[in-house]
Amino acid sequence: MTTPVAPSPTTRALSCTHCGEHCETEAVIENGHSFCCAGCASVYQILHDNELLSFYHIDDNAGRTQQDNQHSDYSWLEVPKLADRLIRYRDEQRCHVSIELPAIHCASCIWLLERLHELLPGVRSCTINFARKEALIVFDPQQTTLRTVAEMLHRIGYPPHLRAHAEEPGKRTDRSLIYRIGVAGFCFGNIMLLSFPEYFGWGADAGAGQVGGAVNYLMLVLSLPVVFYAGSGFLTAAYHALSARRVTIDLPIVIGMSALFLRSAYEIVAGTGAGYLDSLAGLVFFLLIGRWFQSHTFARLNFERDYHDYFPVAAQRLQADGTTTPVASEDLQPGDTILVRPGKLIPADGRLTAAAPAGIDYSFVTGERDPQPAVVGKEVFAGGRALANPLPIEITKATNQSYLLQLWLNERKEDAEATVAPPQQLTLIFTIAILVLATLTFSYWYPTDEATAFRAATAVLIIACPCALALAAPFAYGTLQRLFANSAFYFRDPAAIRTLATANAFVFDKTGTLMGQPDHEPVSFFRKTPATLAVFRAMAEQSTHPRSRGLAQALKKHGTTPATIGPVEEIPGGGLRLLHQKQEYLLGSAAFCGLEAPHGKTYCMVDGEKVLALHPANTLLRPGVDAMLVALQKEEGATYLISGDHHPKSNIWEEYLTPDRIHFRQSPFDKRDFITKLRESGKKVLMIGDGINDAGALIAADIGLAVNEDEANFNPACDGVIKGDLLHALPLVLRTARRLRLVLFLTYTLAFAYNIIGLSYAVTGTLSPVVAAILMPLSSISVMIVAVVGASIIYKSDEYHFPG
Amino acid sequence: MKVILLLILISLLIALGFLAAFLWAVGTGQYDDEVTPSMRILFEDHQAKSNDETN
Repeated sequence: MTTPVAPSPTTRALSCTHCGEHCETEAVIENGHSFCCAGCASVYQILHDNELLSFYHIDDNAGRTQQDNQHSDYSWLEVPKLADRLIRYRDEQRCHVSIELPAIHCASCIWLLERLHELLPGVRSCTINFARKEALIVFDPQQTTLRTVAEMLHRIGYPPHLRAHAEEPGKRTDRSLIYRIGVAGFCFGNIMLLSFPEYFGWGADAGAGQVGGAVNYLMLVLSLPVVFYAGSGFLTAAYHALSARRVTIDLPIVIGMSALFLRSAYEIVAGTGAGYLDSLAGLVFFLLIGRWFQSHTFARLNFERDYHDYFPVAAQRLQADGTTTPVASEDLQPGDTILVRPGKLIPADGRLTAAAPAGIDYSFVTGERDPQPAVVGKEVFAGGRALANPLPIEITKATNQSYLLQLWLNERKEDAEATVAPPQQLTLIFTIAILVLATLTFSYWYPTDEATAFRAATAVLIIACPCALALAAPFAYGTLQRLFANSAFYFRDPAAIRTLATANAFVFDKTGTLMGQPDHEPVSFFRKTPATLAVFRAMAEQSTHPRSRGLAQALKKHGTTPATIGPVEEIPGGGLRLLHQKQEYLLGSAAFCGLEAPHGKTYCMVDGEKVLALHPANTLLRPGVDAMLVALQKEEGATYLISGDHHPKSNIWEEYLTPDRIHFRQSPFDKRDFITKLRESGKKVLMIGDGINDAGALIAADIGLAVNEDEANFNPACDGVIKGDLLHALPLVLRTARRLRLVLFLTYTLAFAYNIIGLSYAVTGTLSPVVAAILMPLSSISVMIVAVVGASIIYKSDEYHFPG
Repeated sequence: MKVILLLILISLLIALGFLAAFLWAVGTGQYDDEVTPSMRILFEDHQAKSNDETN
């Protein structure tokens, strides 16, 4: 939330009762309370009428400004076919729907939203998931409709983000892993307890014999769910890997499991021993914990966004009489005519049937900030945003054939493994080594003593623990993933960090990534007559051109109130003209105002006299980014800039990068192709971008990172999200990710050391259950600890400190 | 001495009960959201307005 602007002497120091922001002079005042806008006033009114004013007491920043909360059209929710797609469950009396509310930000939000039933009678309950910013709403379809619910949510300041389809409910929480850990842990603990007498030789007196046998069978029974339920994942994975002729870590795991189980079962049934079931259960238990540890995700961030999240769900089909009816975007066929209202996105490719002088804003998809002019018959593309004029469009392609959609159809890279497993060669060598060793041991002992031969060979297979090997990387990378998140670097999974460490080519987008949001445009005044400024403010507010908006903002900050004026004449490509009280007001480019001045500034003139000049938005480089680019270029070499913008006049980028590595006017497809070509030349590419126009490139890169200003914004599909101000720390992140390999080396060495110790017992045939039961958990736990502690040390050890 | 088997079986049964409770708790979604309940617990009792609550 922005801090309130210090009041200038001309305005009173009023702050909005709802959101706390500074109220401009046109504040709404009711019953002694002031509000910065009608939206805030309306929310307060609703809360007041329903006795929900405790909302403001629960959290200090409960209210957020409603100034930017535009009116949204939910009429399409009345169409049952469309509404049903969002509904998870429905019967006569209740209807369950899950809605994303990006505006949720504090405890007050939860408090208020869970009392939705007090605001809207048909609602039975509303349960909020804070981490995901979701509301699960149950309402009575006889009393209210989804549209009413959506509108009420919008009115109290939580506009819903409605996707085309409800997300599959089962997809997100993977409970089966938790069940397995629970079962494996239960069996492990109990088997181990039952094994104690065996370890310490208790009860070796009479009477114990009979009990001992029964207890062994009990342990065997307890081990069955471990092998066939909890460990079944490893069994199937190893089977699939083998049939695909690949070697994964599951293979030595399954070899170990089978040796443990079969040997123990034999010993128990034949009465020759107690078996090693505690090691078996422990093995499965620790491995499952390793799986769970690396499955950590950040609930509030979505790394999987596709075009459905951005393109409008419904369109307004234009009828013959000029009215519109809502229709699902995906049902649009070539030949349909739709109307896209100002501020809304175009859902499908088509042709304009009427001129739109204000133009179309494609910044969402191409990054091009200036609006594209649009005449009758001009081709328009899905993703463009309508400006001041509504756009009647004749559709030429269905939504799933949209030109820009091709960006998302790029399949993700083949080996997109979310889990970090040890490298294939290591696993292969390990597996072969233990099989060879087992065979050798067997053939060594066989001539001398058959029983010992079997014992020793199976002992080799049992003790050669792949579990330390399997746990090292997940815990090291998983810890780093969590630590990075503390500094606002969010990686979708631990494997992304591993890929990042291998990156050797770096591609940056410009606008929004290397450069931050434009500053407010500074104004130089030549005249400051309030009446004149008032007219200009009113003129500027009638236009949606970015320069006009900037001028209106600047004048608002200055404290000018808009005057009441007649209609303004808008000359495309030039500016605005108004005849007011016999004076001619001009607002536009230098050429338009008849001035001999360099291109770039916007001028306001009255009857030929300059009133003010608006300087172009000062888009600044994010702090520290210049040093970062220089450092990257020096140390890594292959650093590139690709941008959808026009070539700037003064190429400041050549200070940081070599000219042949800077490319402008790149369409989203150009960006994607550039990345693909780089990858084909053998580089591992890291792409950093921010918007939809980078989506194709982010997916095409080996690792794609998205820059985000604010968590409430959406980031495109990517492997990681960085906060904008922290982009300069990228080299630090790289260095840390690479140093982690040192920790891995250490843990693998530790794992091998344990294996050597254990094997020395095994090959001599003297491996007792006690030794196995001690070594196996000890190796697993110590590897986990070294991995976690090592990763933490690496994270904190750098010369500079991580921000945040 | 055989009575110890009976004791073991009984305690295992009780432990199984707890395992069942754990599995049930996970299955009914009690662990799906670990953040929001911690915030909810701090809310005070609230007097709804005079209309009946539709819960």
